Amino acid sequence: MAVSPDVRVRWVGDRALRITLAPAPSAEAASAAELIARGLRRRPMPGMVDALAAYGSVLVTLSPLAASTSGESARSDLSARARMALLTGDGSLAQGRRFQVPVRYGGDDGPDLEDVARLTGLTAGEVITRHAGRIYTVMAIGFRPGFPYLGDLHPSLRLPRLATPRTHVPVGSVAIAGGQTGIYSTASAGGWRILGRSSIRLFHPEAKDLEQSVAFRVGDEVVFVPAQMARS
Amino acid sequence: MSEPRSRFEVVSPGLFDLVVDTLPRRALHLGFSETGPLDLSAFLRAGRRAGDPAPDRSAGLEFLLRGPTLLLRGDPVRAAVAGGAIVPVLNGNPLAVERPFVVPSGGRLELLPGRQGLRGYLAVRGGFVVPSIWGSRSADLPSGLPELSGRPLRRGDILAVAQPQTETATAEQDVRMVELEPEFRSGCTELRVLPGPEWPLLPKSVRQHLLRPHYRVSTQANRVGVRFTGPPPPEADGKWKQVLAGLPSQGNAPGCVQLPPDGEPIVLLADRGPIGGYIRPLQMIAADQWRLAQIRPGQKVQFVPTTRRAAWLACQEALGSQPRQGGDRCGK
Repeated sequence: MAVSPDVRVRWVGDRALRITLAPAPSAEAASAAELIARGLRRRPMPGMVDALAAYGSVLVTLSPLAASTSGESARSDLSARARMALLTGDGSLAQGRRFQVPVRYGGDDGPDLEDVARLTGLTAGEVITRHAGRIYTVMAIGFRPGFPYLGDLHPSLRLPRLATPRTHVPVGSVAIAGGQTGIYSTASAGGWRILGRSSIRLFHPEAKDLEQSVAFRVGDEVVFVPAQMARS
Repeated sequence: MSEPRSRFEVVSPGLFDLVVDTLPRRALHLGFSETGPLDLSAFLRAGRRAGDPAPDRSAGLEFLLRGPTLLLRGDPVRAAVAGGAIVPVLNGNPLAVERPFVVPSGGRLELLPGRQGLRGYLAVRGGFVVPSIWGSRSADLPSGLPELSGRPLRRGDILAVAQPQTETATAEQDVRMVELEPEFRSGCTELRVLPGPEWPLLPKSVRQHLLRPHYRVSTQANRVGVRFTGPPPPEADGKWKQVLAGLPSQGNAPGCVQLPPDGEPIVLLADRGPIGGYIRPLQMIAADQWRLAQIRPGQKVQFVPTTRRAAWLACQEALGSQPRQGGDRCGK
Protein backbone atom coordinates (compact mmCIF):
# COMPACT_ATOMS: atom_id res chain seq x y z
CA MET A 1 0.00 0.00 0.00
CA ALA A 2 1.52 3.29 -1.11
CA VAL A 3 0.36 5.43 1.82
CA SER A 4 -0.28 3.78 5.17
CA PRO A 5 -3.24 5.31 6.96
CA ASP A 6 -2.59 6.45 10.50
CA VAL A 7 -3.04 3.46 12.87
CA ARG A 8 -4.30 3.90 16.45
CA VAL A 9 -5.03 1.10 18.89
CA ARG A 10 -7.21 1.62 21.97
CA TRP A 11 -8.67 -0.67 24.60
CA VAL A 12 -12.41 -1.33 24.56
CA GLY A 13 -13.03 -2.47 28.11
CA ASP A 14 -10.71 -5.20 29.39
CA ARG A 15 -11.11 -7.84 26.65
CA ALA A 16 -11.09 -6.05 23.31
CA LEU A 17 -8.93 -3.63 21.35
CA ARG A 18 -10.00 -1.34 18.57
CA ILE A 19 -7.72 -0.32 15.72
CA THR A 20 -8.87 2.91 14.10
CA LEU A 21 -7.53 4.06 10.79
CA ALA A 22 -7.55 7.71 9.80
CA PRO A 23 -8.93 9.44 7.90
CA ALA A 24 -12.26 7.73 8.63
CA PRO A 25 -14.72 7.25 7.16
CA SER A 26 -12.94 6.81 3.86
CA ALA A 27 -12.53 4.07 1.29
CA GLU A 28 -8.79 3.90 2.10
CA ALA A 29 -9.41 3.43 5.80
CA ALA A 30 -12.12 0.84 5.11
CA SER A 31 -9.92 -1.28 2.85
CA ALA A 32 -6.95 -0.96 5.22
CA ALA A 33 -9.19 -2.15 8.06
CA GLU A 34 -10.38 -5.08 5.97
CA LEU A 35 -6.81 -6.01 5.10
CA ILE A 36 -5.70 -5.92 8.75
CA ALA A 37 -8.71 -7.96 9.92
CA ARG A 38 -8.18 -10.66 7.28
CA GLY A 39 -4.51 -10.88 8.18
CA LEU A 40 -5.35 -11.26 11.87
CA ARG A 41 -7.90 -13.99 11.21
CA ARG A 42 -5.36 -15.89 9.13
CA ARG A 43 -2.59 -15.45 11.71
CA PRO A 44 -4.28 -14.65 15.02
CA MET A 45 -2.28 -12.94 17.73
CA PRO A 46 -1.99 -14.99 20.94
CA GLY A 47 -5.30 -15.12 22.81
CA MET A 48 -7.24 -13.47 19.98
CA VAL A 49 -10.86 -14.59 19.62
CA ASP A 50 -11.81 -12.72 16.45
CA ALA A 51 -11.10 -9.65 14.34
CA LEU A 52 -13.88 -7.65 12.70
CA ALA A 53 -13.50 -4.73 10.31
CA ALA A 54 -16.22 -2.08 9.98
CA TYR A 55 -16.02 1.42 8.50
CA GLY A 56 -12.31 1.96 8.95
CA SER A 57 -11.95 0.32 12.35
CA VAL A 58 -11.08 -3.21 13.46
CA LEU A 59 -12.46 -4.69 16.66
CA VAL A 60 -10.18 -7.40 18.06
CA THR A 61 -11.74 -9.50 20.81
CA LEU A 62 -9.46 -11.29 23.28
CA SER A 63 -9.95 -14.48 25.24
CA PRO A 64 -10.08 -14.18 29.02
CA LEU A 65 -8.51 -17.65 29.12
CA ALA A 66 -5.18 -16.49 27.65
CA ALA A 67 -2.77 -14.92 30.14
CA SER A 68 -1.17 -12.93 27.31
CA THR A 69 -4.29 -10.82 26.89
CA SER A 70 -4.13 -9.33 30.40
CA GLY A 71 -1.73 -6.42 30.21
CA GLU A 72 -0.66 -3.47 28.15
CA SER A 73 1.61 -5.58 25.96
CA ALA A 74 -1.45 -6.89 24.06
CA ARG A 75 -2.05 -3.37 22.79
CA SER A 76 1.49 -2.79 21.54
CA ASP A 77 1.57 -6.28 20.04
CA LEU A 78 -1.59 -5.58 18.07
CA SER A 79 -0.35 -2.18 16.99
CA ALA A 80 2.83 -3.73 15.57
CA ARG A 81 0.84 -6.46 13.79
CA ALA A 82 -1.56 -3.94 12.25
CA ARG A 83 1.30 -1.82 10.89
CA MET A 84 3.03 -4.92 9.56
CA ALA A 85 -0.18 -6.09 7.85
CA LEU A 86 -0.41 -2.77 6.02
CA LEU A 87 3.23 -2.94 4.94
CA THR A 88 3.21 -6.54 3.78
CA GLY A 89 -0.38 -6.93 2.58
CA ASP A 90 -0.81 -6.65 -1.16
CA GLY A 91 -3.62 -4.16 -0.58
CA SER A 92 -5.75 -5.62 -3.32
CA LEU A 93 -9.06 -6.87 -2.08
CA ALA A 94 -11.09 -8.98 -4.48
CA GLN A 95 -12.95 -7.05 -7.16
CA GLY A 96 -16.52 -6.36 -6.05
CA ARG A 97 -19.49 -7.84 -7.90
CA ARG A 98 -22.74 -5.98 -8.57
CA PHE A 99 -26.14 -7.28 -7.42
CA GLN A 100 -29.59 -6.01 -8.39
CA VAL A 101 -32.04 -6.43 -5.53
CA PRO A 102 -35.79 -6.01 -6.22
CA VAL A 103 -37.63 -4.30 -3.33
CA ARG A 104 -41.34 -4.00 -2.59
CA TYR A 105 -41.49 -0.53 -1.00
CA GLY A 106 -44.09 0.65 1.51
CA GLY A 107 -47.21 -0.96 2.93
CA ASP A 108 -46.75 -3.95 5.22
CA ASP A 109 -43.37 -4.57 3.60
CA GLY A 110 -42.12 -1.08 4.44
CA PRO A 111 -43.91 0.06 7.61
CA ASP A 112 -41.65 3.09 8.13
CA LEU A 113 -41.83 4.52 4.59
CA GLU A 114 -44.54 7.06 5.44
CA ASP A 115 -42.74 8.15 8.64
CA VAL A 116 -39.50 8.58 6.74
CA ALA A 117 -41.30 10.71 4.16
CA ARG A 118 -42.83 12.85 6.91
CA LEU A 119 -39.56 13.27 8.81
CA THR A 120 -37.57 14.17 5.68
CA GLY A 121 -40.26 16.40 4.16
CA LEU A 122 -40.32 14.25 1.03
CA THR A 123 -43.12 12.29 -0.59
CA ALA A 124 -43.03 8.49 -0.30
CA GLY A 125 -42.29 8.36 -4.02
CA GLU A 126 -39.31 10.68 -3.59
CA VAL A 127 -37.97 8.56 -0.74
CA ILE A 128 -38.17 5.47 -2.98
CA THR A 129 -36.51 7.25 -5.90
CA ARG A 130 -33.66 8.51 -3.73
CA HIS A 131 -33.18 5.17 -2.00
CA ALA A 132 -33.26 3.11 -5.20
CA GLY A 133 -31.41 5.63 -7.32
CA ARG A 134 -27.89 4.86 -6.08
CA ILE A 135 -25.16 2.28 -6.36
CA TYR A 136 -24.29 1.18 -2.83
CA THR A 137 -21.09 -0.48 -1.70
CA VAL A 138 -21.05 -3.24 0.95
CA MET A 139 -19.05 -1.48 3.68
CA ALA A 140 -19.34 -4.29 6.22
CA ILE A 141 -21.21 -7.52 6.96
CA GLY A 142 -22.53 -7.78 10.49
CA PHE A 143 -25.39 -7.70 12.95
CA ARG A 144 -26.65 -11.09 11.66
CA PRO A 145 -25.07 -13.55 9.20
CA GLY A 146 -24.98 -11.91 5.79
CA PHE A 147 -26.49 -8.54 6.82
CA PRO A 148 -24.84 -5.98 4.50
CA TYR A 149 -24.09 -2.46 5.68
CA LEU A 150 -24.47 -0.40 2.52
CA GLY A 151 -23.22 3.12 1.96
CA ASP A 152 -23.74 5.89 1.25
CA LEU A 153 -27.37 6.76 1.67
CA HIS A 154 -28.65 9.94 -0.03
CA PRO A 155 -27.96 12.72 2.53
CA SER A 156 -31.64 13.78 2.59
CA LEU A 157 -32.61 10.32 3.91
CA ARG A 158 -30.31 10.39 6.96
CA LEU A 159 -32.38 9.76 10.09
CA PRO A 160 -31.56 8.40 13.53
CA ARG A 161 -32.42 4.81 14.41
CA LEU A 162 -35.78 4.13 16.05
CA ALA A 163 -35.93 5.23 19.68
CA THR A 164 -36.92 1.70 20.69
CA PRO A 165 -35.80 -1.20 18.49
CA ARG A 166 -38.52 -3.49 17.10
CA THR A 167 -38.56 -6.94 18.65
CA HIS A 168 -39.29 -8.57 15.28
CA VAL A 169 -38.14 -7.50 11.83
CA PRO A 170 -39.00 -9.94 8.98
CA VAL A 171 -36.22 -11.44 6.87
CA GLY A 172 -35.56 -9.46 3.68
CA SER A 173 -36.55 -6.09 5.17
CA VAL A 174 -34.69 -3.21 3.54
CA ALA A 175 -34.03 -0.46 6.06
CA ILE A 176 -32.08 2.73 6.72
CA ALA A 177 -30.19 4.23 9.68
CA GLY A 178 -27.94 7.27 9.68
CA GLY A 179 -25.95 7.27 6.45
CA GLN A 180 -26.45 3.56 5.85
CA THR A 181 -28.95 1.16 4.37
CA GLY A 182 -29.10 -2.60 4.82
CA ILE A 183 -31.05 -5.80 4.27
CA TYR A 184 -32.15 -7.99 7.19
CA SER A 185 -30.66 -11.38 6.30
CA THR A 186 -32.52 -13.26 9.05
CA ALA A 187 -35.61 -12.41 11.09
CA SER A 188 -34.42 -10.55 14.17
CA ALA A 189 -34.91 -7.56 16.43
CA GLY A 190 -33.79 -4.29 14.91
CA GLY A 191 -33.79 -0.51 15.21
CA TRP A 192 -33.50 0.55 11.57
CA ARG A 193 -36.36 2.25 9.69
CA ILE A 194 -37.92 -0.23 7.27
CA LEU A 195 -38.68 1.07 3.76
CA GLY A 196 -39.48 -2.18 1.98
CA ARG A 197 -38.82 -5.86 1.60
CA SER A 198 -36.84 -8.04 -0.75
CA SER A 199 -36.94 -11.79 -1.42
CA ILE A 200 -33.16 -12.15 -1.80
CA ARG A 201 -31.54 -14.89 0.31
CA LEU A 202 -28.37 -13.57 1.88
CA PHE A 203 -27.62 -16.38 4.31
CA HIS A 204 -27.31 -20.11 3.60
CA PRO A 205 -26.86 -21.93 6.92
CA GLU A 206 -26.63 -25.27 5.07
CA ALA A 207 -23.38 -24.25 3.29
CA LYS A 208 -20.43 -26.55 3.92
CA ASP A 209 -17.92 -23.75 3.93
CA LEU A 210 -18.34 -20.87 6.37
CA GLU A 211 -17.26 -18.19 3.91
CA GLN A 212 -19.78 -19.52 1.35
CA SER A 213 -22.73 -19.27 3.76
CA VAL A 214 -23.03 -15.55 3.16
CA ALA A 215 -23.99 -14.04 -0.24
CA PHE A 216 -22.30 -10.63 -0.19
CA ARG A 217 -18.69 -9.61 0.47
CA VAL A 218 -17.26 -6.31 1.59
CA GLY A 219 -16.64 -4.34 -1.61
CA ASP A 220 -19.62 -5.78 -3.57
CA GLU A 221 -22.10 -3.30 -5.07
CA VAL A 222 -25.87 -3.34 -4.61
CA VAL A 223 -28.59 -1.56 -6.61
CA PHE A 224 -32.18 -1.61 -5.32
CA VAL A 225 -34.90 -1.91 -7.95
CA PRO A 226 -38.49 -1.01 -6.95
CA ALA A 227 -40.42 -4.27 -7.46
CA GLN A 228 -43.09 -2.93 -9.81
CA MET A 229 -40.26 -1.79 -12.09
CA ALA A 230 -38.34 -5.05 -11.85
CA ARG A 231 -38.36 -7.31 -14.89
CA SER A 232 -37.80 -10.95 -14.19
CA MET B 1 -11.35 -41.88 19.54
CA SER B 2 -13.37 -44.86 20.63
CA GLU B 3 -17.13 -45.24 20.26
CA PRO B 4 -18.99 -43.37 23.02
CA ARG B 5 -20.14 -45.90 25.59
CA SER B 6 -22.38 -43.50 27.49
CA ARG B 7 -25.16 -41.25 26.36
CA PHE B 8 -27.79 -39.11 27.97
CA GLU B 9 -31.30 -39.14 26.64
CA VAL B 10 -33.39 -36.00 27.11
CA VAL B 11 -36.49 -37.26 28.97
CA SER B 12 -37.88 -33.74 29.17
CA PRO B 13 -36.22 -30.49 28.18
CA GLY B 14 -35.74 -27.54 30.52
CA LEU B 15 -36.80 -23.98 29.76
CA PHE B 16 -33.87 -23.23 27.47
CA ASP B 17 -31.03 -25.77 27.32
CA LEU B 18 -28.16 -25.05 24.98
CA VAL B 19 -25.00 -26.89 24.03
CA VAL B 20 -22.04 -24.55 24.54
CA ASP B 21 -18.27 -24.58 24.34
CA THR B 22 -15.64 -21.84 24.46
CA LEU B 23 -14.25 -22.35 20.96
CA PRO B 24 -14.71 -19.42 18.57
CA ARG B 25 -16.14 -19.69 15.07
CA ARG B 26 -14.17 -16.58 14.14
CA ALA B 27 -17.03 -15.49 11.91
CA LEU B 28 -17.99 -12.07 13.28
CA HIS B 29 -17.01 -10.65 9.89
CA LEU B 30 -19.79 -12.64 8.22
CA GLY B 31 -22.33 -11.40 10.74
CA PHE B 32 -22.30 -14.37 13.13
CA SER B 33 -22.63 -13.87 16.85
CA GLU B 34 -19.88 -14.85 19.25
CA THR B 35 -22.12 -17.36 21.13
CA GLY B 36 -20.80 -19.65 23.91
CA PRO B 37 -21.42 -19.81 27.67
CA LEU B 38 -22.71 -16.55 29.19
CA ASP B 39 -21.21 -17.30 32.59
CA LEU B 40 -17.77 -18.49 31.50
CA SER B 41 -16.62 -18.74 35.09
CA ALA B 42 -19.38 -21.21 36.04
CA PHE B 43 -19.03 -23.16 32.79
CA LEU B 44 -15.34 -23.83 33.47
CA ARG B 45 -15.95 -24.62 37.14
CA ALA B 46 -18.45 -27.28 36.15
CA GLY B 47 -15.92 -28.82 33.75
CA ARG B 48 -13.13 -28.83 36.32
CA ARG B 49 -15.38 -30.29 39.02
CA ALA B 50 -16.40 -33.04 36.64
CA GLY B 51 -12.72 -33.90 36.28
CA ASP B 52 -12.60 -32.93 32.64
CA PRO B 53 -8.98 -32.59 31.55
CA ALA B 54 -9.82 -29.81 29.06
CA PRO B 55 -12.93 -27.89 30.11
CA ASP B 56 -11.93 -25.07 27.76
CA ARG B 57 -12.29 -27.43 24.79
CA SER B 58 -15.26 -29.53 25.86
CA ALA B 59 -18.94 -29.03 25.13
CA GLY B 60 -21.29 -28.68 28.09
CA LEU B 61 -24.88 -27.63 28.69
CA GLU B 62 -26.15 -24.21 29.66
CA PHE B 63 -29.64 -24.01 31.07
CA LEU B 64 -31.93 -21.30 32.31
CA LEU B 65 -33.59 -21.71 35.75
CA ARG B 66 -34.75 -25.27 35.13
CA GLY B 67 -32.59 -27.65 33.16
CA PRO B 68 -33.50 -30.87 31.39
CA THR B 69 -34.25 -34.26 32.90
CA LEU B 70 -31.69 -36.72 31.54
CA LEU B 71 -31.48 -40.49 31.57
CA LEU B 72 -28.05 -42.11 31.31
CA ARG B 73 -27.62 -45.17 29.10
CA GLY B 74 -24.34 -47.04 29.18
CA ASP B 75 -21.39 -46.67 31.54
CA PRO B 76 -21.41 -44.37 34.60
CA VAL B 77 -20.41 -40.77 33.97
CA ARG B 78 -18.68 -38.30 36.24
CA ALA B 79 -20.45 -34.95 36.11
CA ALA B 80 -20.81 -31.65 37.94
CA VAL B 81 -23.14 -28.69 37.96
CA ALA B 82 -22.16 -25.06 38.60
CA GLY B 83 -23.68 -21.63 38.25
CA GLY B 84 -26.62 -19.91 39.84
CA ALA B 85 -28.29 -21.93 42.55
CA ILE B 86 -29.48 -25.14 40.92
CA VAL B 87 -30.53 -28.31 42.60
CA PRO B 88 -29.24 -31.37 40.78
CA VAL B 89 -31.38 -34.35 41.72
CA LEU B 90 -30.06 -37.82 40.97
CA ASN B 91 -32.56 -40.68 41.18
CA GLY B 92 -34.67 -38.54 43.49
CA ASN B 93 -31.83 -37.48 45.80
CA PRO B 94 -30.72 -33.82 45.85
CA LEU B 95 -26.97 -33.31 45.31
CA ALA B 96 -24.66 -30.39 45.90
CA VAL B 97 -23.75 -27.95 43.16
CA GLU B 98 -20.07 -27.24 42.59
CA ARG B 99 -19.23 -30.86 43.55
CA PRO B 100 -18.53 -33.84 41.33
CA PHE B 101 -21.00 -36.70 41.29
CA VAL B 102 -21.28 -39.92 39.37
CA VAL B 103 -24.38 -40.73 37.36
CA PRO B 104 -24.80 -44.52 37.43
CA SER B 105 -26.00 -46.48 34.45
CA GLY B 106 -29.74 -45.89 34.12
CA GLY B 107 -29.46 -42.86 36.42
CA ARG B 108 -32.04 -40.12 36.11
CA LEU B 109 -30.66 -36.61 36.54
CA GLU B 110 -32.99 -33.69 37.10
CA LEU B 111 -31.77 -30.09 37.18
CA LEU B 112 -34.24 -28.12 39.26
CA PRO B 113 -34.26 -24.39 39.91
CA GLY B 114 -32.88 -22.99 43.13
CA ARG B 115 -34.12 -19.82 44.68
CA GLN B 116 -31.45 -17.52 43.24
CA GLY B 117 -29.35 -17.17 40.12
CA LEU B 118 -30.41 -17.73 36.55
CA ARG B 119 -28.11 -20.05 34.59
CA GLY B 120 -26.64 -23.41 35.36
CA TYR B 121 -23.99 -25.49 33.62
CA LEU B 122 -23.76 -29.25 33.41
CA ALA B 123 -20.38 -30.69 32.50
CA VAL B 124 -19.34 -34.30 32.11
CA ARG B 125 -15.82 -35.65 32.10
CA GLY B 126 -14.73 -35.58 28.46
CA GLY B 127 -17.57 -33.35 27.36
CA PHE B 128 -20.59 -34.05 25.18
CA VAL B 129 -20.22 -35.33 21.61
CA VAL B 130 -21.95 -32.78 19.43
CA PRO B 131 -21.07 -31.99 15.80
CA SER B 132 -18.83 -28.97 15.47
CA ILE B 133 -20.04 -26.46 12.90
CA TRP B 134 -17.35 -24.18 11.56
CA GLY B 135 -15.10 -24.71 14.56
CA SER B 136 -17.52 -24.56 17.48
CA ARG B 137 -20.26 -26.67 19.04
CA SER B 138 -21.98 -23.69 20.66
CA ALA B 139 -25.63 -23.24 19.73
CA ASP B 140 -26.04 -20.17 17.55
CA LEU B 141 -29.71 -19.21 17.91
CA PRO B 142 -29.54 -15.87 16.07
CA SER B 143 -28.21 -17.65 12.95
CA GLY B 144 -30.49 -20.65 13.18
CA LEU B 145 -27.78 -23.20 12.44
CA PRO B 146 -28.93 -26.82 11.97
CA GLU B 147 -29.99 -29.12 14.83
CA LEU B 148 -28.39 -28.64 18.26
CA SER B 149 -26.24 -25.87 16.79
CA GLY B 150 -29.32 -23.77 16.30
CA ARG B 151 -31.93 -24.72 18.90
CA PRO B 152 -32.48 -25.66 22.54
CA LEU B 153 -32.71 -29.32 23.57
CA ARG B 154 -35.88 -31.25 22.85
CA ARG B 155 -37.38 -34.42 24.25
CA GLY B 156 -35.62 -37.41 22.74
CA ASP B 157 -32.34 -35.65 21.92
CA ILE B 158 -29.27 -37.79 22.59
CA LEU B 159 -26.10 -36.39 24.15
CA ALA B 160 -23.23 -38.86 23.90
CA VAL B 161 -20.26 -38.53 26.24
CA ALA B 162 -16.88 -38.20 24.56
CA GLN B 163 -14.54 -40.37 26.61
CA PRO B 164 -14.98 -43.95 27.74
CA GLN B 165 -15.81 -43.70 31.40
CA THR B 166 -14.21 -45.70 34.13
CA GLU B 167 -16.32 -44.45 36.99
CA THR B 168 -18.13 -46.58 39.47
CA ALA B 169 -21.31 -45.52 41.13
CA THR B 170 -19.72 -46.12 44.52
CA ALA B 171 -17.59 -42.93 44.31
CA GLU B 172 -18.36 -40.67 47.24
CA GLN B 173 -21.34 -38.40 46.75
CA ASP B 174 -21.27 -35.12 48.58
CA VAL B 175 -24.84 -34.29 49.47
CA ARG B 176 -24.09 -31.07 51.35
CA MET B 177 -25.90 -28.10 49.79
CA VAL B 178 -23.65 -25.13 49.19
CA GLU B 179 -24.60 -21.74 50.57
CA LEU B 180 -26.36 -19.40 48.21
CA GLU B 181 -24.00 -16.80 46.91
CA PRO B 182 -24.67 -13.67 48.95
CA GLU B 183 -24.64 -11.44 45.88
CA PHE B 184 -27.83 -13.05 44.63
CA ARG B 185 -29.73 -12.63 47.85
CA SER B 186 -30.90 -9.06 47.97
CA GLY B 187 -29.83 -5.45 47.80
CA CYS B 188 -28.13 -3.87 44.86
CA THR B 189 -25.50 -5.49 42.68
CA GLU B 190 -22.53 -3.44 41.54
CA LEU B 191 -21.45 -4.07 37.97
CA ARG B 192 -18.00 -2.72 37.15
CA VAL B 193 -17.49 -0.73 33.97
CA LEU B 194 -14.82 1.07 31.98
CA PRO B 195 -15.54 4.06 29.73
CA GLY B 196 -17.05 3.13 26.38
CA PRO B 197 -16.15 4.75 23.06
CA GLU B 198 -18.71 7.58 23.34
CA TRP B 199 -18.26 8.30 27.06
CA PRO B 200 -16.12 11.42 26.47
CA LEU B 201 -18.73 12.85 24.08
CA LEU B 202 -21.62 12.74 26.55
CA PRO B 203 -22.62 15.69 28.72
CA LYS B 204 -21.61 15.45 32.37
CA SER B 205 -25.23 15.23 33.54
CA VAL B 206 -25.81 12.14 31.38
CA ARG B 207 -22.60 10.51 32.61
CA GLN B 208 -23.53 11.12 36.24
CA HIS B 209 -27.01 9.82 35.56
CA LEU B 210 -25.66 6.51 34.21
CA LEU B 211 -23.65 5.87 37.36
CA ARG B 212 -26.54 6.35 39.82
CA PRO B 213 -28.06 3.35 41.63
CA HIS B 214 -31.45 3.65 39.92
CA TYR B 215 -31.45 0.76 37.48
CA ARG B 216 -33.13 -2.61 37.61
CA VAL B 217 -32.65 -5.62 35.37
CA SER B 218 -35.72 -5.76 33.13
CA THR B 219 -37.51 -8.81 31.79
CA GLN B 220 -35.98 -8.01 28.41
CA ALA B 221 -32.96 -10.06 29.28
CA ASN B 222 -31.60 -12.88 27.19
CA ARG B 223 -28.39 -14.12 25.59
CA VAL B 224 -28.32 -11.16 23.18
CA GLY B 225 -28.37 -8.57 25.92
CA VAL B 226 -29.88 -7.35 29.15
CA ARG B 227 -31.95 -4.20 29.23
CA PHE B 228 -31.98 -2.10 32.39
CA THR B 229 -35.01 -0.05 33.35
CA GLY B 230 -34.60 3.28 35.05
CA PRO B 231 -35.29 6.97 34.63
CA PRO B 232 -34.14 8.42 31.29
CA PRO B 233 -31.15 10.80 31.27
CA PRO B 234 -31.97 14.49 31.86
CA GLU B 235 -34.05 15.86 28.98
CA ALA B 236 -32.33 19.23 29.19
CA ASP B 237 -29.33 17.55 27.63
CA GLY B 238 -31.30 15.72 24.95
CA LYS B 239 -29.08 17.26 22.27
CA TRP B 240 -26.59 14.41 22.63
CA LYS B 241 -29.07 12.15 20.89
CA GLN B 242 -28.95 14.20 17.69
CA VAL B 243 -25.22 14.74 17.85
CA LEU B 244 -24.54 11.03 18.21
CA ALA B 245 -27.39 9.64 16.11
CA GLY B 246 -25.39 9.44 12.90
CA LEU B 247 -22.47 7.38 14.23
CA PRO B 248 -21.10 4.86 11.76
CA SER B 249 -21.68 1.29 12.87
CA GLN B 250 -18.74 -0.39 14.58
CA GLY B 251 -17.89 -3.76 16.02
CA ASN B 252 -19.62 -4.35 19.37
CA ALA B 253 -17.31 -5.71 22.05
CA PRO B 254 -18.87 -8.20 24.49
CA GLY B 255 -20.21 -6.26 27.49
CA CYS B 256 -20.75 -3.13 25.44
CA VAL B 257 -23.36 -0.95 27.15
CA GLN B 258 -25.55 0.67 24.52
CA LEU B 259 -27.74 3.68 25.17
CA PRO B 260 -30.59 3.82 22.65
CA PRO B 261 -32.40 7.18 22.33
CA ASP B 262 -35.09 6.08 24.82
CA GLY B 263 -32.39 6.27 27.50
CA GLU B 264 -32.51 2.74 28.92
CA PRO B 265 -29.11 1.02 28.77
CA ILE B 266 -28.65 -2.42 27.21
CA VAL B 267 -25.65 -4.60 28.05
CA LEU B 268 -24.72 -6.72 25.04
CA LEU B 269 -23.74 -10.35 25.66
CA ALA B 270 -22.55 -13.36 23.66
CA ASP B 271 -25.42 -13.58 21.14
CA ARG B 272 -25.28 -9.87 20.25
CA GLY B 273 -25.01 -8.81 16.63
CA PRO B 274 -21.33 -8.19 15.93
CA ILE B 275 -21.92 -4.66 14.60
CA GLY B 276 -24.05 -1.90 16.05
CA GLY B 277 -24.52 1.83 15.94
CA TYR B 278 -26.13 2.99 19.17
CA ILE B 279 -24.12 5.15 21.56
CA ARG B 280 -21.85 3.10 23.81
CA PRO B 281 -21.16 5.10 26.95
CA LEU B 282 -19.82 2.21 29.01
CA GLN B 283 -18.13 -1.14 28.70
CA MET B 284 -18.80 -3.80 31.34
CA ILE B 285 -15.75 -5.78 32.44
CA ALA B 286 -15.67 -9.46 31.47
CA ALA B 287 -15.94 -10.82 35.03
CA ASP B 288 -19.13 -8.84 35.64
CA GLN B 289 -20.68 -9.89 32.33
CA TRP B 290 -20.50 -13.41 33.78
CA ARG B 291 -22.13 -12.23 37.03
CA LEU B 292 -24.81 -10.39 35.06
CA ALA B 293 -25.73 -13.71 33.42
CA GLN B 294 -26.93 -14.84 36.87
CA ILE B 295 -29.00 -11.82 37.85
CA ARG B 296 -32.74 -12.20 37.69
CA PRO B 297 -35.11 -9.53 36.38
CA GLY B 298 -36.11 -7.00 39.02
CA GLN B 299 -32.69 -6.96 40.71
CA LYS B 300 -31.30 -3.49 41.49
CA VAL B 301 -28.01 -2.83 39.76
CA GLN B 302 -25.52 0.01 39.51
CA PHE B 303 -22.70 0.71 37.07
CA VAL B 304 -19.52 1.36 39.03
CA PRO B 305 -16.31 2.64 37.41
CA THR B 306 -13.19 0.53 37.78
CA THR B 307 -9.74 0.30 36.20
CA ARG B 308 -8.51 -2.04 33.50
CA ARG B 309 -5.95 -3.52 35.91
CA ALA B 310 -8.68 -4.27 38.45
CA ALA B 311 -10.76 -5.78 35.64
CA TRP B 312 -7.95 -8.18 34.69
CA LEU B 313 -7.54 -9.20 38.34
CA ALA B 314 -11.29 -9.74 38.69
CA CYS B 315 -11.19 -11.90 35.59
CA GLN B 316 -8.35 -14.07 36.92
CA GLU B 317 -10.17 -14.42 40.21
CA ALA B 318 -13.43 -15.39 38.50
CA LEU B 319 -11.66 -18.02 36.43
CA GLY B 320 -10.01 -19.55 39.50
CA SER B 321 -11.43 -22.74 40.90
CA GLN B 322 -13.30 -21.24 43.84
CA PRO B 323 -16.97 -20.30 43.54
CA ARG B 324 -17.41 -16.54 43.58
CA GLN B 325 -17.64 -14.94 46.94
CA GLY B 326 -19.94 -12.13 47.75
CA GLY B 327 -21.03 -9.11 45.81
CA ASP B 328 -20.57 -5.45 46.38
CA ARG B 329 -23.50 -3.40 47.39
CA CYS B 330 -24.27 -0.19 45.58
CA GLY B 331 -25.22 3.28 46.66
CA LYS B 332 -22.50 3.68 49.27
